[in-house]
Amino acid sequence: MSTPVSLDLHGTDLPDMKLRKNSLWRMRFQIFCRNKIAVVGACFVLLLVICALFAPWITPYSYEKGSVLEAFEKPSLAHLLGTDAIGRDVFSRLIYSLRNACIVGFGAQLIELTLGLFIGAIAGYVGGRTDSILMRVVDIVYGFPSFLLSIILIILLGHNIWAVLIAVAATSWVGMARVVRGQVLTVRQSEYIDAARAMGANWWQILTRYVLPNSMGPVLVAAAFGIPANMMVESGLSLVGLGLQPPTPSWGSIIADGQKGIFSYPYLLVYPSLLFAITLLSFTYLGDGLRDAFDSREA
Amino acid sequence: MKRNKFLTTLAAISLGAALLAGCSGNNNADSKENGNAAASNTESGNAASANNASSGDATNKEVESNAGTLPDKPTGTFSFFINSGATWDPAIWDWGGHHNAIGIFEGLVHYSQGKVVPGTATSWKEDGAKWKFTLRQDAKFSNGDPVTAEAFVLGIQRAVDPNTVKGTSKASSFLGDTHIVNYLDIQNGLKKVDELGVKAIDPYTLEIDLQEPDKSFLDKLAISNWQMPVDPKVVKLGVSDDTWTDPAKIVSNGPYMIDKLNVKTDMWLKPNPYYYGKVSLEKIHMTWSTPEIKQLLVFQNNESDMATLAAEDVPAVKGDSTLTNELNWFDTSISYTFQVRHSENPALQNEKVRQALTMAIDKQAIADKVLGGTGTPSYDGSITTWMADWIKNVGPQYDVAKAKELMKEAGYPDGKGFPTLVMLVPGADDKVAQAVQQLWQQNLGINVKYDGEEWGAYVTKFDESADPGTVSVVQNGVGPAVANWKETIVQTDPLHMELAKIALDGKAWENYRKIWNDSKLEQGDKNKQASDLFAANFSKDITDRYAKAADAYKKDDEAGLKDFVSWRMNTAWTFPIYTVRNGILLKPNVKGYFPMRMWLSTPPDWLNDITVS
Amino acid sequence: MLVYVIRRVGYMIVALLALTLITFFLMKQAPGSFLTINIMQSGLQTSGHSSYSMDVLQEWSERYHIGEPWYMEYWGYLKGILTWDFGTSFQYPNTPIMSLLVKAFPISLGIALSSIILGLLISIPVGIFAAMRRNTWADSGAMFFSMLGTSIPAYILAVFLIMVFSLYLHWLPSMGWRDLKNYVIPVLALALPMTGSMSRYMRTSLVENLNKDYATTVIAKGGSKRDVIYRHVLRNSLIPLITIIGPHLAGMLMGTVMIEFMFGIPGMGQLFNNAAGSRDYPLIMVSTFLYTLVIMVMNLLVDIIYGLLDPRIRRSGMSD
Repeated sequence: MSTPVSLDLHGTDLPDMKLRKNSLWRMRFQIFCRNKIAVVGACFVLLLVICALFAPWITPYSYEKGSVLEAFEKPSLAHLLGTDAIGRDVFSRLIYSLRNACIVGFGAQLIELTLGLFIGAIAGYVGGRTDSILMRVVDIVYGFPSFLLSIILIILLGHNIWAVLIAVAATSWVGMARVVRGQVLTVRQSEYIDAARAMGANWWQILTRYVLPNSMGPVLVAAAFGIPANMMVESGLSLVGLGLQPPTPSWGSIIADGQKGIFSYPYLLVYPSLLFAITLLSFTYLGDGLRDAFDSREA
Repeated sequence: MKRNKFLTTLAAISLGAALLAGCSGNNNADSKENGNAAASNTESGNAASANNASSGDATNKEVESNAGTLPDKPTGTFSFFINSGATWDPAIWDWGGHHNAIGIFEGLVHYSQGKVVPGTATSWKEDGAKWKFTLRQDAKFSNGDPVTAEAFVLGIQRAVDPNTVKGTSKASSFLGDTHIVNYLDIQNGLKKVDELGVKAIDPYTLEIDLQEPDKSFLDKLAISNWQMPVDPKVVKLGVSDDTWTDPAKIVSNGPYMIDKLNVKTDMWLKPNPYYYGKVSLEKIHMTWSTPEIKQLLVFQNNESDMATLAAEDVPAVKGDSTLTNELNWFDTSISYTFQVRHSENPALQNEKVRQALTMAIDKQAIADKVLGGTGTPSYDGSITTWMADWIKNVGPQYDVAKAKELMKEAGYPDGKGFPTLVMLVPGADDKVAQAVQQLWQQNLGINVKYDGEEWGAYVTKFDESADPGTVSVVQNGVGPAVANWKETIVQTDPLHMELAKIALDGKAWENYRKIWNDSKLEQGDKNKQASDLFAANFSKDITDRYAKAADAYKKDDEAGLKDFVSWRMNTAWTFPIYTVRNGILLKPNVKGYFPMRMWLSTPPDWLNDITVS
Repeated sequence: MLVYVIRRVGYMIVALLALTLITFFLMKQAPGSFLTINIMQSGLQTSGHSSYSMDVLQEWSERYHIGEPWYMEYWGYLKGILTWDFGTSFQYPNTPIMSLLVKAFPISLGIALSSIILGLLISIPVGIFAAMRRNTWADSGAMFFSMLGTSIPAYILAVFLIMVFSLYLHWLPSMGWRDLKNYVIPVLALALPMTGSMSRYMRTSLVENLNKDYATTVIAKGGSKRDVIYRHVLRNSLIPLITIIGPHLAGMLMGTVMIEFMFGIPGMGQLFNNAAGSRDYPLIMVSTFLYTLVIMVMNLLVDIIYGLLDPRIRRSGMSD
């Protein structure tokens, strides 16, 4: 697709470009580090991922073993967050649930980003008929009875974490595609794009080098919200028997359990919800930091 | 193991279907008895079976209504939660029928304070299979028309007549539990509806002829919707038109009539101005219950005079002295059970294994800890402990050491070599099922897989055989048809021998499913072929036992019947876990709420017994 | 402009047809049929047949070509949609589907729109407030509290709102569906979780626009920040906000099942969820179709507004 001229350009500029790229990333990192609260957010997200990875070493108990005789015990030194309806340690279950939450949250977001960026960017940049057709695809996916789609995907793929991941991502990428398209539509009218075009850059270069990086702000904000939102969608699925099979712990169902016991066992709701709130905040500030870092005008 | 249709439905809906909505349907309950609600276990155990009105020797009896004193003028409003209704035609099977039975219509007899009491019939005579009811002469419909024997004949004929439901696409409310002469032939279109064994001898005498004497006839009558009279001037026989039951124009004869209906939300009742007796309440507000509604909050906000507790809310209520005083515990007849699912793998065909599985379940701990008391241990799906206390002691008891021993004897020491056991459970994150899974895994060392399915998938899998290589149990809600343990036993029709069906080997079951799913077969042929297949494949031991039990029932041989129950429980084809027990909050000014224990939600058994001061 | 709209409508029709076909296959693929579920739910396993009379089954199989090849069956549903004669559903055979939807749809639409409007009414000022005091404690505080709303799922927030407004203040009913008062708690419960993301978008977008040349120029010329925001930046900043209204609206029309069940609201969420759960094919087909129709029309409107707000897009995005 690229013209010989641009290929040539690419070839001659290669070493120089690489250097520029490196320094660009370093600069972005420096900008990111200047935003302290974003760094805190990033650290917390990192901590979550570490907890998820090393769950067996962190948790004092198994996530599935317990005794009904020890059901609904209050938080104590033995059980930091108490025990659930069948006597399982809630702290251990919460830590283990992070694993699945991370897989579903990050995994589904990755799918969403890939599909959303690809389709949204092409639709927004190329425009015309391509845009219309792609946006109609988006409309159709919007209209999908997602409940039915989830049932079928999970039946077809089996009751496992990957099926849940795909079921979560299957309909949510369209939101991302619309955000990306909206951003690209705005950015591609900018003077620097005209300038780049005038300098002979082809559409792929313009898209990847100028349009996308400059559209990244809202996209990253959306992605930062999307990850915890995906984690909650999983809970909705597990409530109707389409989520992870018990006794596998899921963050969403731990919170849903907490809601049921809100009057009798408020701690079963408060701690998992608090962790969720902090996670959401961390992702948000992380997203903020990234947006600042990617904002070329500041860079 | 007869399944009562109403009850199973209720059980299925609240233990399963409601989960679709997103919340686990624990509108179950438990409790210690509280004074004002008059529902002590011991008292109800005797009274609720209501057989003092119908059992055995006496042939002529009159029972006085024992409802409390009602105010001279309807006073007060009573608001409560109940399962939703869609139509109030007494001939149609629908949840609205429950509302009819508690006071929108009034049949020959009805329940009141747990006993069968006279309704529009003031007295009755039982003569073998013939029943003669004398009706009161001052009963009127809500439009002023008199309630005559003709109205009852028309009501019952409509319920049996297949033409009534043709355009409504629902089943008739006459489910065939009661064998009125010629009902089956009429339902199958072989005879005309006027050949039904129901006659008006004079305007105020009604005769019902049964095919055989039925000791629990009055109990069945009192809980049913098909016994309601309908106004011959308003309703026609043989046509499928239920527009007359639109809430705005329905003509009924109960103490209350429909005032206003908000579809899918709630309904208001007002007194029937033509009712012959006193009417206690000025207004009744019925809100359709869903498991998601936080009934405790609605109750505390004084928007409802009644609330059913979720298991999780029990400790909160117990920690509040006002609420504790308003709490009543009502037993239901519905049990949460697991039953063996068919599989090519014969591991569960071994009785020792099934007994070991039963013995490994600590039902008391599940009832107390997981359910917070909103359930009591269940030992037999159709006989609850409040109907027959001895049931506790005759089956396999919780005994882990013995369970391990049995597994060893069956060739699976410490669970080694035992195939994966799959638990098929409807919908959500079912904590009771997980507790059972945990107990089986930890006590027996076997591998148990939890298979929670969305409702539609669960229903589909319910009858299917388990994956080859695994064995499986499936969750089910069951309950008896009447609150009398002896009546739950007799079952001679092979199509209704649930236990024998469960015990069928995998291959015979698949053959049966082929017949059942054959869309080209007429229902009659299906029944015939299935019956033949069952006759050829049922285990002889089981059919012999059933025959002996039927014999014992005829002779009223209690020891023989108990022997059968004990055998049935020790075969352990089903694993009853708990009987639902409702923790119901009632405002202190509400008197006369006696629970209908045959229904899962334990609504009041007769609205006109309730007073609000 | 007109050409653009007409073309969009054309694409819409094609998309709707494709959607009905896909929905049809999805629904047929889902395990279980209406009748088996009906039998199980009515506890009629022992008698083996559903609670529906043979005549009605006959009528259904004629209308929906049950048991015939898939294209005939699909045609049965499509014909109903094309002729705008939706017939009756399996679950409520006495009530036309149209009258079910006419009752449920306005309720859901009312709740969805009021929640979104309320969400906007909260988020826009919060976003402006935060953007004007960018990187101060006021900014972080405002963002923190709006995020807190987002981190609590609606069904938990609803319980707290009932406790506050019903139990302690006695202002509002805790459930039911009678008058306007009944709207308040559900709408609040749905709106507050939205404000986190919405005010975030608002702030982000304002900050971006404030950094743009035209804004800096105004400030350089001596304009106040307030002036710049209200006179120049606000309009441009609303654009990304509009793009996320579409998804919110879509989600709220059918995705508020939990809230609807908690408050006994007879809306679309309940209706569709029950239809999908009980495999009520006609109701699934029709409600999916109408729902998508509304979403697509809304998206079209959003795109037109989008164009009106941003002249640059109007210039290119619509002309080609």
